[in-house]
Amino acid sequence: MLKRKIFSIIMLCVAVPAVVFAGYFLAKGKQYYLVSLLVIFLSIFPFFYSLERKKLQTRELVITASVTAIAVASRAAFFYLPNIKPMCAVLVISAVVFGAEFGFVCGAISMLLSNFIYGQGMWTPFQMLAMGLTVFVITLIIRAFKIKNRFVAGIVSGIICTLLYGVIVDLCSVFMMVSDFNLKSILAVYSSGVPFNIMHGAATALIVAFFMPSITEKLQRIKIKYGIFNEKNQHSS
Amino acid sequence: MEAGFKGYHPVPNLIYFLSIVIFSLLFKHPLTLAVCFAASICYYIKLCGRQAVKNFFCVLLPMLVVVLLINGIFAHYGTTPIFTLPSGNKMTFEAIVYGFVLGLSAVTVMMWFFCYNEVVTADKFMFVFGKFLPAAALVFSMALRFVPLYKNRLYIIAEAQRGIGKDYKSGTLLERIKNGGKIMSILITWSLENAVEISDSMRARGYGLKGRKAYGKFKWSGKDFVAVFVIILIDILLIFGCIFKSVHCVYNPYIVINPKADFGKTYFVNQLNLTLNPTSFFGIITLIAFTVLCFLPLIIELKEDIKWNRLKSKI
Repeated sequence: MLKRKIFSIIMLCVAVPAVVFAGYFLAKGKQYYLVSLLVIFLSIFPFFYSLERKKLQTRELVITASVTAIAVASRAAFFYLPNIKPMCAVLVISAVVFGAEFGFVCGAISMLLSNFIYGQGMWTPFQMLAMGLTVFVITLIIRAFKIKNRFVAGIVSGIICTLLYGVIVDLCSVFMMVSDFNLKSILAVYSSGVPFNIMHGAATALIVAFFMPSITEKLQRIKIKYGIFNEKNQHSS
Repeated sequence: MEAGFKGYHPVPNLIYFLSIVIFSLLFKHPLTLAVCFAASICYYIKLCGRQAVKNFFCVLLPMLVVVLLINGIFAHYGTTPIFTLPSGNKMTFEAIVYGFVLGLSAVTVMMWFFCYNEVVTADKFMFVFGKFLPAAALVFSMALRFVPLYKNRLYIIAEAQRGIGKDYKSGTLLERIKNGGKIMSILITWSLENAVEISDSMRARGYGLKGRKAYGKFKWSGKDFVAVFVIILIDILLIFGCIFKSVHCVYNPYIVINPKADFGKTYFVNQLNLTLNPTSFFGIITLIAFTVLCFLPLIIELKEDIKWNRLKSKI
């Protein structure tokens, strides 16, 4: 447990800046996209590594797969509202119950999965990191401040979803499209994504605010009934 | 059995797409760009046919124009002004050319990804990553099967809800969100309970016991070995090409194509501050290697087509 944590921290604190600096000096600041890809892989890797090392119960693995699939499929529940993507909200609600690391892994895998359905692209790694990190951060905040009020939780997740997810995903288009990094050209790319990000954040906020209590109750029941994702007895399979 | 490059083992498929995407992002020389663009569009059309042409004109061409405009209007570098915009910003020759280069490489990479979607299916992806990350691969493959299952269940739940008067198709926005969330909530109850049953059944059949192996559909054969060997050989050549900058171009502050050389003739275009240096011997080798890498899947497809036609004519 401790070894795993130390490994993750070393990975994030040493390897990521090292790659950024090496990329900056070797490519003389020209290969932003490739360097950012390396950074993304390095920051996603510790989470997947800990998933392998944890020796999860079979039940926990299948629940992870199930929540991931629900997040991807839930888009079909709002089929008549094409702009509403409930993925982030579903993941946040389940991550608050099952744990932040669970949220990161589910977020990253569900983005990868939905891209296998809608088409992979150079945005896939960015989306994986963005969704994982967004869910991770929101869960940490909700758990740290013990937010029980569903509307507060909704507003918090809506704001973080808009900002964090939007910024990371649009970074991909910035790196691909802009050669001269001045404020105007970066803003030009970002502003084209603003409506989508606001829609995404608003949908997340609405769904979290409406359905957090009822879905949390269901997940909590499963968690207690089958004794899964219990932080205390992680190793007793 | 799939034909052509699709029928190869997942390892050469993935190595190929990894190296082609990285090198088409690394090389910004006009010749490599042209070759890579031609190869990607040919392969894309070979794989997807009419859909590819439609996608190219409706999605990729507008993207190229947008990148060109963003760089032309907002970039401040370059020494050769062509004309001044109403905002007072000078549109430079260098910025426009580099915008075109960036746009073209973005479009090319997009097309390689479209080809990737056709060639590397989810089971191939799983086969490779299941070796390194077995737990994550299991989660991924189970989720892959659950998605269509749950979509089907969502439809069943939605129809049942419609039957009791909670129509998901009509009503105000808020009502529809509420109904959608209700459907989702029912799905969660149904599916999580079910997931636990699935895991118990897996345990009962011995999941997680020692000495159990995963079933792999793909067999390693001689042609896969040759393909991996060729791709890695070319990769090594191209990495040397990158390190020694044999096909290197500078677009800022003025355009210099190929590094400075002691031999051959150097051309200048004074109005545009454009310098054209001769290509070195190693530069030519790098270019040829890159061309082979780009056209590798097409060569494989063509070879099999010729073989097929010859066999057909024999009958």
